[in-house]
Amino acid sequence: MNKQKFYLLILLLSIAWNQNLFSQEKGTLRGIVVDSTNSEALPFGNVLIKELGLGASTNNRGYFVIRSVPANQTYTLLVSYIGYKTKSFNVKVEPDKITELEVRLVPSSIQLQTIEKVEYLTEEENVPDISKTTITPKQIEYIPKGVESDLLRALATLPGVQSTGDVSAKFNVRGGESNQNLVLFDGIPVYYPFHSIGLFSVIDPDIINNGEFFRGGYSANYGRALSSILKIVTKDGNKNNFSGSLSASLLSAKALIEGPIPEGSFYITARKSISNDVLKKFVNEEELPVDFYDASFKINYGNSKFFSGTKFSLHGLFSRDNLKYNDPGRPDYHWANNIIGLKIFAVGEVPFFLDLGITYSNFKNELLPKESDVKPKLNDLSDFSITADFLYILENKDELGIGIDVKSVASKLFLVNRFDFKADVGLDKIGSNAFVNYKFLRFENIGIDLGARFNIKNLAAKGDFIEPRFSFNYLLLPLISLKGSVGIYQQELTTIIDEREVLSLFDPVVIIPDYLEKSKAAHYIVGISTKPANYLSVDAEGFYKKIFSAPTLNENKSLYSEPDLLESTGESYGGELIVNLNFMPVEFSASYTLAWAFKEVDGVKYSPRYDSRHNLNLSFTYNLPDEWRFSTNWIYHSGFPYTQQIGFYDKLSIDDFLNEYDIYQTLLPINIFGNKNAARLTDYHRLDMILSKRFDFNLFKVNLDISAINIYNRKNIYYFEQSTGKRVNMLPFLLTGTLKIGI
Amino acid sequence: MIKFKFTLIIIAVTLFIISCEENISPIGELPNKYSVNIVLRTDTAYQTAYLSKIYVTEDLNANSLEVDPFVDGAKVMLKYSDSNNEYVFNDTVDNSNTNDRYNTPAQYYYLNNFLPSTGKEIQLAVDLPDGSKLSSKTKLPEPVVFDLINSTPFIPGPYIGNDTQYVKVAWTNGNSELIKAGRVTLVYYYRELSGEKTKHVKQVPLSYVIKNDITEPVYVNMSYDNNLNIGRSILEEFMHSISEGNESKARYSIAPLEVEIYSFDENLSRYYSADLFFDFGFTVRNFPGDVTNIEGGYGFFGAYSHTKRIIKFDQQYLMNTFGYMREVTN
Repeated sequence: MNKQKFYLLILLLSIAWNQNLFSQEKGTLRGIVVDSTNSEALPFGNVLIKELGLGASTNNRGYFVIRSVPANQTYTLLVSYIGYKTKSFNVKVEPDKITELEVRLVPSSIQLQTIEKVEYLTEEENVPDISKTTITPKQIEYIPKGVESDLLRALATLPGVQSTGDVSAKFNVRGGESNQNLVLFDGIPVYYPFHSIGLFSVIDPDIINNGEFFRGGYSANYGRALSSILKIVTKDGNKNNFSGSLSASLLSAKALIEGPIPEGSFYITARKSISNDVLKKFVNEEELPVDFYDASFKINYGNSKFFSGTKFSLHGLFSRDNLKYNDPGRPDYHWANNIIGLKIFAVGEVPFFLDLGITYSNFKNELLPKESDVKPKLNDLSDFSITADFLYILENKDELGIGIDVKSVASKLFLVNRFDFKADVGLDKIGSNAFVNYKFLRFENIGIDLGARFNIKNLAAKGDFIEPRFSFNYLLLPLISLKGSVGIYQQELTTIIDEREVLSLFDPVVIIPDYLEKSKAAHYIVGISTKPANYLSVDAEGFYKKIFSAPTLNENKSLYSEPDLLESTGESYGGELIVNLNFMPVEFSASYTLAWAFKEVDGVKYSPRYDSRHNLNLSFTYNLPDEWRFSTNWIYHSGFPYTQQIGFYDKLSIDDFLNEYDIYQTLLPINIFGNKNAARLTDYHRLDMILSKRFDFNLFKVNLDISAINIYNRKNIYYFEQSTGKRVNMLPFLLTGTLKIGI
Repeated sequence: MIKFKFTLIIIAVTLFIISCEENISPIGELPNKYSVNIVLRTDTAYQTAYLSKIYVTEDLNANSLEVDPFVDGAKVMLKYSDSNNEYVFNDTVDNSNTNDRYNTPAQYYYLNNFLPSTGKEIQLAVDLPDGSKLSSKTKLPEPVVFDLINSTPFIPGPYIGNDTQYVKVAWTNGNSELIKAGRVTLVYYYRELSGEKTKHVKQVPLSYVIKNDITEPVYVNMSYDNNLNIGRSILEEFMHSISEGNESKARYSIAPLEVEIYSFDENLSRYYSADLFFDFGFTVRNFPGDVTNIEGGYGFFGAYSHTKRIIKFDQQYLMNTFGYMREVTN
């Protein structure tokens, strides 16, 4: 029996082994938890049947399901969510029926939170959640802003996540390249989720309802990424009232309008750059004439009765960036994202969820040389996808997920070299993936997630058919759970990264060409998690990631027939520790990572540029009276690798030797470099602070943030200029502010 | 209060110390290595080489080096792979010429009477006084063989059934992996009233580029292609320009156009192509690409072959278009 059949058999047996399938005297509780002020779903909240100690967490859409509840009885249901008043009410469960609920929670003030004992109820501790972090807009707000509050920059504060500089929001996860992360915007891949030069993301944090970030070990319903998945769920828009907000920072201004429509809601938001003076601080006081905008919208329509309906949503995200120099001798750059999707979300009469999507994601990056020596370049990637995900919740709490997607991807990459040699390295392909995963949640002490992805039709030419995944949570003691995960991950699209570039402006995304293997990695993760008190949690994880193949730029290509990309391998390993303390009005978190990363290309093994041995992030928030809030963040990491210059040699000038020449007059000094990334830059550390105040003026709600970045003006080295050896430092001390006025 | 002040002072001092810039050198340890540069040419029997020690300067500005790093006393030798004959370069201090970079007498190695044979592999070996050895090899490409059928036979060429926008030069045996450089020269004469004739040799621009609002001619066309197309309009504009301001057009006589094709070996092709396919324009790079092909050190060893073709001008065309004569003596 081959591996695939064996795996399928295990899955089928798992489903068949369902002892409580035909229970007669039990019923089901199903519901959605929403904010009473705007009816936005509240994800990752807690629901508990007090008398039974039986509970569930709300999913990222705010839904919860509790099955196998003894029927014909009235229970006390407790629903809690951080920042909201816990709600307690009676509910009667009917036999063989789904009792539907809509729970509206009322926000509580910080003061109330400190007085009221918030009931942190039984979470589903057996649900495998290794290497997963949930992110709320509030967490993004708490992080001091360099230019804009930003989800992708917030990720860099998590253990195992590494940013290579203050300039860019690009990130590396557990020793993986930055092109091994997949950002899903309401299920749609965003292939280049950054504004100009990667400064911050194109996704406005004000439209985010929640995010889930998987640093590894993700289950079979996520694929096409080797290192991480960032799943962003946007909000639906205020279902109760029309509202809006205007805000401005030193860089941009934005507006948001949201409100109800018959049987639904909408939001529309737009952000536009207004000045780029502040950006000079990020690029060593160089001019960075960036002009950008992003806009997004969502329209929801569905039956207002929650349990009986199907919800349709149409959403889109559009961004444009231009980097235009007045100097005709400097090239211009353009970036554009066009993302649109239609989603149909259905909740069935039996406890199942069905998610259908038709989506389109396009990324375009262009270099216009004007009168410079640089040649034009164009990258245009279009992804049209149809997806269907199905989740069935069994009587015994087990969950069965099945899904399929079909993608049509067209990647174009036009390059022109110095000899005006034109190359089109694009591909048009159709691919399809399916997944099955089964979560054993029937046991109190252990949860197992067993699944696999099937590459029915590959976009890239060569790769494995099956990607098995396995993860578990085992409750060793009431307060301590052990976790583990192992899985195979593949990726078919890649951004071409030139490792020699500290900062790049042309980041083409292509399908991995036919002459290379599809990118492939294996994750092995173990962890331990404890929550000794309601206000304290400690998580530790160890990981080993083996990258069997990943495309990398052929830096030594010098003949046209040689490939642009080579296959590289890599490995990374390390340990992560995160401590969270939530003792209102004080919140504190510390994360530490000890990690090693290696990459091997053409038989040469080296540490990639983002390899940092120690990473420490400390953050502290103090919620002061009268809606004041103070947060501070200290980041430390040990120095990144770099390649030392060791001297010069004299070489014939490239332009002169066809003519009659004197050899001694045609020589130019050429840099000699040492072994790649063999030296280390100095350690990086930075202290940031943010002070926020919320004012209420009748109808208006005003938020004012003042951020101070790099308070002690640490001169963190960014790189050495290769032509002069001049040291270039990262962001100096910077004071920024944001004003937001909402109705 | 004293405690509070003391704490503040401690914090301030700590912040001051950690905010300081830590010193770190971008320069690694310089190894004891050498660099040699030779490009063998088939258009001359006089070959030159430059051998030097690698160096570093304190400020990482190579131009601040004041002493020529040239190394003399080494044995620099060429040898065909299929023969035992050695061709040894001589070193010289050429007091009649100055190395402009160091403002010192020119120093180099030279080899007289060596016209490289095309199609053969040739080895370079350098034995340095301290025992170090450098080596490399190349194969001289065969000269191109012009494709007369697909080349323009005369200028402007037969009009009927032909594209006369370009003067076309094609060849048949070019390796599409290797770069060919094309260069075009116009030789013309000007006859004074006294009857004295002066010869002029000018490179013909093949295209123009605009750099910083200044239009600059491009005289060498590099390509993998096995043909060179010379734009008629550019050629004619250039030919008009040689007599600009002079009404006595008939005093000019034009020799046949000279087209030179340089076939680069693989080493030179790599040298010219390196880092070009992803030459991201902005770039803040910390590790630029480079091609060095010397075993045991740095530098470059390459070769090219050279072929010339002449294309005659039609007398009527010269007279009617420019008022020039055709040079018959050439």
